[in-house]
Amino acid sequence: MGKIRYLKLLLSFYRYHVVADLVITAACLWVLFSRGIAAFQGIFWLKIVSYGMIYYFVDALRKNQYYYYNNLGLNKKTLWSTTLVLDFSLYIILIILTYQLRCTIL
Amino acid sequence: MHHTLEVDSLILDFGSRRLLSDVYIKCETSKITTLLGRNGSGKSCLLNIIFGTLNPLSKSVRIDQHTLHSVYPAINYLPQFHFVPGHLKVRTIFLDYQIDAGRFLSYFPEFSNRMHHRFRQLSGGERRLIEVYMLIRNAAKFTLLDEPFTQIMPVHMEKIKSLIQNETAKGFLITDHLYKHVMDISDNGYLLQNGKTWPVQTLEDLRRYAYIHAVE
Repeated sequence: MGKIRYLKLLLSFYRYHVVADLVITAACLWVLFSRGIAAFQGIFWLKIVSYGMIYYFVDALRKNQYYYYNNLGLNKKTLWSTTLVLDFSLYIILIILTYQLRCTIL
Repeated sequence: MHHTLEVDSLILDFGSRRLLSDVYIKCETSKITTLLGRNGSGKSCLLNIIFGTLNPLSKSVRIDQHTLHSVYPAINYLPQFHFVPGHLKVRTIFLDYQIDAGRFLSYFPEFSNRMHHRFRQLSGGERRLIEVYMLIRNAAKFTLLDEPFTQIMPVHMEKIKSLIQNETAKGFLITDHLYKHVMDISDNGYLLQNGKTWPVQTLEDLRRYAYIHAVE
């Protein structure tokens, strides 16, 4: 499978949970900006727990649609691990940028 | 090139109930194999086991005598429910599955104004037709079709049957309660009853095993 096609399929699956992921990320960034680095442990675990809840709901609501990706060579483990790693990487980058912004402004 | 898909040594339990035990299925490329059975006999479970989405206590799924470790790209599977994400546009689905949309439209011209629609905007029958077409045309050696004729109108059913028969490079394993349509195009078949498979060739075989009597 071509890399672009593979990426397109992963992004198409990421769409199922991207809104919930971004809402949680935005909430974490707001807490970090207002409370500082002391809040890091709390927002880190909030993000991890939210992944569990998002997985539970998306898996229950969209389980039939795994077959679309299975037929194209992407199994459930690949879909979830890749999109969660992508989202968590984005989360870490935004945490660093927000912390630096806070240090600059305050 | 000729390929053979074989399935045996299956044991599947649900709680204390043994659903599948003595199963043997052989499917060959350029042939259409049917799998018939009553509701709850384990047909869909068997297809899921072959596709790798259900793990039984034991199984042996082989292609050309070699144990299958990954079904992709050798086998694809049409489940009995809609599986295409509703947010995708029809033309995107054809691109994802690398299927010529023009050829599809030559068979089903009534879809020409549907290609830019999202999949969830189509009727149940239209969605089923596209799903069945995609898997028939997809480049796999074997295609497992679970109730492909459900929701499809008779005129399209005949076209689907002809499409399946024309795909001579592939092997099909089809299960459907519309047994006359399935038997009409099949080369060989099996009846799944009490967890075991029995070879069936004709409607007389189905009567002998009381499958038709059970249906009618």
